[in-house]
Amino acid sequence: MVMKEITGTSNKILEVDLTTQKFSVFDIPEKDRKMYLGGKGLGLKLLYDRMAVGVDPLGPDNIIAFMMGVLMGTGASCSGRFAAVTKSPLTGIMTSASCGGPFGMALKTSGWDGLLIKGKSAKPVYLYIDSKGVQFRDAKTIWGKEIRKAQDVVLKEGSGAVVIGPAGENLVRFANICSGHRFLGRGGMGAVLGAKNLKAVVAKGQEYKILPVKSKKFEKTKKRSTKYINQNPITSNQYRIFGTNSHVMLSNKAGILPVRNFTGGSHGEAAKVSGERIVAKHNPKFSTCKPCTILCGHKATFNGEERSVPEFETTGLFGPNLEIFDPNAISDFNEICTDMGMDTISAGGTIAWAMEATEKGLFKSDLKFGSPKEVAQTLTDIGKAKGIGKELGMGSRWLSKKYGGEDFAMHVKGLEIAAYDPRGAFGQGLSFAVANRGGCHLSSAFFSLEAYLHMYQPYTTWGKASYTEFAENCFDVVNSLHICQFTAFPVFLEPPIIKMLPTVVLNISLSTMAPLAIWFMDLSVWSRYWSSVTGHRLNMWKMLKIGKRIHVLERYMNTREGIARKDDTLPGRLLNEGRVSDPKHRTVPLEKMLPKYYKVRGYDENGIPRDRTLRKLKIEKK
Amino acid sequence: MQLPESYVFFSQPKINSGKNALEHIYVELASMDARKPLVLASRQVAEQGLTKKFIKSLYDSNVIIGSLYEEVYPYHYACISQLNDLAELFRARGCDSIIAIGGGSVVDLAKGVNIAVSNEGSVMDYAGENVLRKRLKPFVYVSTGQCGGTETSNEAYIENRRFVSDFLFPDVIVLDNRMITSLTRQRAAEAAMVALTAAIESCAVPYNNPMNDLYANVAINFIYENLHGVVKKPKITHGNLALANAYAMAGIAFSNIPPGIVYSLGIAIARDTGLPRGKCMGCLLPLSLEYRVMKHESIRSELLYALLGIEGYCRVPEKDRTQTSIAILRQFVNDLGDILPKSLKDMHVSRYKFEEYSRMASEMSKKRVSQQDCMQLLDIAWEGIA
Ligand code: SF4
Repeated sequence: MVMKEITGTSNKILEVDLTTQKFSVFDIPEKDRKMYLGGKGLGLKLLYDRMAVGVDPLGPDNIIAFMMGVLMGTGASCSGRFAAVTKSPLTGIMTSASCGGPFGMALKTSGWDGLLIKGKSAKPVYLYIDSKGVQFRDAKTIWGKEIRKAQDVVLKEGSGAVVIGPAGENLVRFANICSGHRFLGRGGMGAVLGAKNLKAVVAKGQEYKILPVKSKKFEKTKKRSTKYINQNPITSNQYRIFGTNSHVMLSNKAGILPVRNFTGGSHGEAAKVSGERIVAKHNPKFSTCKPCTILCGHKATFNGEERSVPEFETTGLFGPNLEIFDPNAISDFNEICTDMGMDTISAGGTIAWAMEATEKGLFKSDLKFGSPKEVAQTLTDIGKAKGIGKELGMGSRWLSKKYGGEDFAMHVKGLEIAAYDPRGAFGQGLSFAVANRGGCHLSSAFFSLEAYLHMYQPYTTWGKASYTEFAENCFDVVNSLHICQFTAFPVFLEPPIIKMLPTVVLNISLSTMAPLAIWFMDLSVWSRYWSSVTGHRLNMWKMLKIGKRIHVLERYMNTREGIARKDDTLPGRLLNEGRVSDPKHRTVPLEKMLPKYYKVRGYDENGIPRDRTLRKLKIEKK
Repeated sequence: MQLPESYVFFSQPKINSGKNALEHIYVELASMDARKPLVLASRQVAEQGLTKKFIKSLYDSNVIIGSLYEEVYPYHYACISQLNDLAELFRARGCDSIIAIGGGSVVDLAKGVNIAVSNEGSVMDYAGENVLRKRLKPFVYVSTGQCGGTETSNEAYIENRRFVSDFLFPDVIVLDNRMITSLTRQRAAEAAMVALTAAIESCAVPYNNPMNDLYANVAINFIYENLHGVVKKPKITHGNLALANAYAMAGIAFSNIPPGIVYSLGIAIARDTGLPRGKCMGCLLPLSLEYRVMKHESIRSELLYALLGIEGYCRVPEKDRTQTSIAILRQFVNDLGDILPKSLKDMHVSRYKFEEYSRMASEMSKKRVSQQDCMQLLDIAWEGIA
């Protein structure tokens, strides 16, 4: 069969109303495409135009957008990723996530650049999508099924799907959405679908071929990008061999590994759960997003079964943070979260809170640090909303407001923080505090520059505000193109000038003149990718401005939901308590960095984007 | 004014206000057979030099400071790990009493430590209403002019859980000019709104209790007469002292009635959103009175007396007194300008959470406030004061 072709993008978005069981199609205005690129950025803009302030995240008026970037389907390196954007039931503000599962490719090659879903179906349904549109199908037979089982059923009808598990159906506030063996992890998107009575969306796919408008330029860019990826030691070696679990020993050495609910920063037994140990003992093989050049994802043998290797965040939060150092146990927890459909970061963070709260007499449970036995059962109970699992499924913020222990509920804005202790990387502290979706490590990923690459002094506040702003803008671009965030390592580090500079000089120049240091990096790889596919002009400066626009729009949407300076903070433990592993008992000096960050961002002293900032970025104030 | 058929009023604290109040502390401690206090303060209080002033005032006394702890976490509640550490410290240093300098969580923490050192088992076992069964160690509260609502009352919030017992009243409240710092306009208005809510909900609604009225009326009057002056000129010493007195009296009055609708809702919203309690209560307070009128429920005309004094009260015809007092109160809040938001919408409170807030408020008031009333008041407050 000869495949139809789309040159550039189809620019077509499907809009589905589950209440009326109808759908419509609209074209993305060219202006929006140029101003927001695609993926996360465009998804936010579409929601900004359509969704009222104050809607209930679990109500019919909440909209979830699945957005493909312009690179999806082109074969660009590490471009097998798509974004989803919605209002989070865990945080009450906007959340976005990136996923490398096959749904992205399937929807895009069905001819759609995005899918918006609103309303609520009267009974459980799933959607079937092809190039003709949407069919609403009865989900009676798959409702209640675990993710992998449900996915196997719907995948008989298409080439990619997004599916929720029992956790999403039971409105667990950190339920995720699965596609293949990858997830839209953070912020409880699974519960948004569950509340809409939507079990799955399956797309036929393979109907269209996606071609760049400027194929020569595209190929050249791809070559450059691949070269950088294959040159860079992190992407060509560290991640390819050890996956993200290579972070375990790096974090342990730098003192930023969370131990016992963030009371310690390193542990003598950390090596037992490291990437190196998994390679030595568990026989890993590649299992990645497609297409991918870096190949960080792996599967391996745990407890005699071939399973996905837990990512570092899962290892960190179910491992040392619960004082568990058994990779098989961590893999068990990962498998339960996969079947139930739950974010492992929030699940791990919430269980750690429960362990400490139990120890302190604030909460009743059988959970104990260092004891894996009860964790597995508790995770299943959370997914099924049974017993104490029902309350644990509300997340650590809700629990700590009800039972106490707010100072050790390790979340920001309701989203449990990832496995990096910012008392050993102050920039990461700022980054957690101001990240738009809450305690997110990916908004700037500052920890890697401070604690792993030593490009910034971890214990100073110099230059932290500027770099946070710069990285946030970059990653908003990355998630809008859409491409894997790990491509940032080669883009930032491989250009010859950066490689030639001695670390000390680089260190000083980044800390004192961060905006200038950007000149050394080769961000044009990303802008050239986008312009070669769409045929529209874009240089890296314009692209960074777009990143800024996306970031500020999201912040502005959040401030309309009540977010302000009061929310740009960290758990009390990180601001007030030193750690045994740090003889200097350092805490994050957030108050020193926050005003500088607001200044570079163009926010007022209360953290609200100023009118002139919105005007400059052409964001229409509502 | 009518004498009710029966009433109960309890007030434990001795109030020591004005010049040299600090220098009386040692006498008060001695009268309770105590001379070795554990002194608690926040970092902020220490940075303002207030603990130094406090220590200086004890130079010529026989008080030995068992331990001075100036690192109380700046949380909105007392935190159990710090509380347990301080209880240990209290025991290790052989302290016999507690002095809290500051407001909000410092006082809650002090009350929590007092529970821990005076009772067996975990502090959390004593959460709830009237669970404590015996007197605690002598406790002195030195005000710095803040008001979180619990400082001078029989309440404490420990790990977000409410503890209520007459044993939680401070034994002595010290209101000394030297310790009362000027707050920012915003903080001053918010503190006053918490106290005003406590005072008004103690007297304007039909729990007729003459002793309560006395405390509440004076508190309302002090706030009404001094808040605007303090907001304009935060350094007015007399005004700040009057407000501190008002907060002390409001806390005592409030301890003698169940929490009202505004107080309970204010706490519920503040806890969920992180907004200051005073902001939430300031927005709801005038509207709650209007809502009562709308529902044909009575508001005692003594509120007007509290606001305007005897002369003003007499000038207004009896039938107009309720409406006039509501109008005055509304104007009073409005005159604070943009310091206090006029609606929940302005404060970006999520409407879809109203049911949850109503449930929490009703639970807090032990169902004395109905969920339905809470919902309706929240709906009105959504659009707020026109
Ligand atoms: S590097 Fe890892 S996360 Fe990124 S696209 Fe490849 S497999 Fe997916």
